[in-house]
Amino acid sequence: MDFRKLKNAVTILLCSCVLLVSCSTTGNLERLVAQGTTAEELLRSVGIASYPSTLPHYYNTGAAWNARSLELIAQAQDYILVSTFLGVEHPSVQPVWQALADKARSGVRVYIIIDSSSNFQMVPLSKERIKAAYMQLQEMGLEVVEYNSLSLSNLFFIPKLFDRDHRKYWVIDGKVLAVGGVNVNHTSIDWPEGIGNIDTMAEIVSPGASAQVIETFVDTWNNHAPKKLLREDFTVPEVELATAAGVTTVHLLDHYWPSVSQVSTLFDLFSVSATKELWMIQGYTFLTPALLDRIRFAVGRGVEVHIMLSEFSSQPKYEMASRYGVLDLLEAGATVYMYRSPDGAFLHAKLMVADGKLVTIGSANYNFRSQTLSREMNFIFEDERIGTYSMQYIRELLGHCRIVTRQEAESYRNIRSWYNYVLMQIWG
Amino acid sequence: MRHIKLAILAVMLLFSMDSFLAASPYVAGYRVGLDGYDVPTISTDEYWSASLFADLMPTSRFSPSVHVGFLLPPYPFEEAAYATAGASIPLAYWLGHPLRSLFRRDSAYAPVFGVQALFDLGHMRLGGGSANLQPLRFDFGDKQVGILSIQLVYDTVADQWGWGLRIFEISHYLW
Repeated sequence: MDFRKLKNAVTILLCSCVLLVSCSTTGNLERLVAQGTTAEELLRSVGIASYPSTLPHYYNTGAAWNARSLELIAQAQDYILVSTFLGVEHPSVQPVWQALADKARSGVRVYIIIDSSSNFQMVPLSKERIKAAYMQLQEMGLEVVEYNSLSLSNLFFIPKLFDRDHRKYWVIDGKVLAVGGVNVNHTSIDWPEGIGNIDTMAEIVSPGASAQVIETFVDTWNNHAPKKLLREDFTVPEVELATAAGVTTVHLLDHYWPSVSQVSTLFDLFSVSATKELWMIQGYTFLTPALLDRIRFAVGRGVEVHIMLSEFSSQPKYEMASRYGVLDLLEAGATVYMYRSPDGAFLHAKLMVADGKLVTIGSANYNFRSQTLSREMNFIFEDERIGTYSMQYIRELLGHCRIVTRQEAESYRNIRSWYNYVLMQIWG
Repeated sequence: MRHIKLAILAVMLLFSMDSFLAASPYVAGYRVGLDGYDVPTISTDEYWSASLFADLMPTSRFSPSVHVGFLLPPYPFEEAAYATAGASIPLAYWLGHPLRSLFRRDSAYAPVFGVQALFDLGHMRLGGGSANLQPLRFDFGDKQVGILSIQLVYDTVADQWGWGLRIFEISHYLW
């Protein structure tokens, strides 16, 4: 046997093992529990800042957020910043684009960032392509940037190809900040018609968080457009937060590659903070060893882990890939629920609640992409009032759920699902 | 071969230095191009240019940029490969340029002038130096694309002047 070839093969194998093992170690979690690290300390250690904020208002369907976004656009007087993973040219989202264009014509500054993944959008359950919105928006007179445009030049460094801006956020006049999972696309807003996804955008008033989001918007814009913006052109007004609605603290997660994984820290936080129960809501999940380890860790400490997945994905391959992993979740000790909307809507919200107190909502999925290459933005709250409201919402969703049995989970373990599961580790 | 291995290792190491190099605004990235030369001691075959570049004043549209890399012939073990190092500076930055409708994305016309030294890795000696003018170069924010840049090359081995052409060049920011 050629010793050199053997040596190379062993090296590659070891590197792969290191990569996998490094993602799945739970030693860090044990240390965090032993040291009694607080949520604030853990979040600050990875650069997640906190700010005073109003209590969040949830908009729980694509259509509800669509209506609210039209109101916010109408109220805007100075500027509107929109960052969306998917933005398409489709009649269902035309009112939003048109309202933004009308506002821009009236003198309000409107800037939109859309990820280049929008070039690969399909009509649900079909192979019919839908055009990305960039060209249409430019023709409407709107300023738009395509995040990390997919082109041949990406091929020289493949990981860059997967650097995607998965964040969904809106900033209106520096006053209102909304973060969540709703895109400006046909499935988020209008599939099924009049409802859209079961998805959440959380709206707050927080000058500190708004300032940070404006800064990240300007940075992202300037890195992907020849026409540069200046941070100081976007003022954030002073606001008195002591309202009847109450005041809280928001932690703003803004994960970007290739920095420290704030999303992995988010999973760490929830798995070490939960002492009784942990709820994880997401339509589909393409599991990673790291996430499974965190679930096992929580279960091992006596925490009841509940995971809610969803039927009615817009593409069967996502559903197949997600369901392949259900058996792993059950074996890790979680209870898995399958949400079946009476309207045929897909549950796209990404919500976690620990012990009815620690809550996160935003764009981060429970998958490898969100932990690494994708840019993500989440709100994190440690507040029983928000926990109570979030659990109330989860109980509403539970009314349309069934518990997935081991027998059902085993039925999803087939070659086709496995193929999609592997593919979705990178693509999904 | 040892040098190539070392170079690959160095590049991989650089790509893995994520957290420190993560920066805003972008400051550095990779650049690839395709060259041809009419110079006495440089082969007339095409050369692939691959380099890493960094902007010295990243917030400025007129930031000088430095680069180090390689000029590789299609058969690197039969013909000389070169290590390269150089610098360049934009000469203009025009957002409303007349060719903007050719591109799907917003662009700026940004021609550059640069200089470059070539080090012959086969003979371990200085192979030459060049001055480059890239009149057709466009900035898209995260990448720059240039075509048909002209090079005036001084061959230090033959002590003669020659010329070269860079058919295309793509600069892509990573950090």
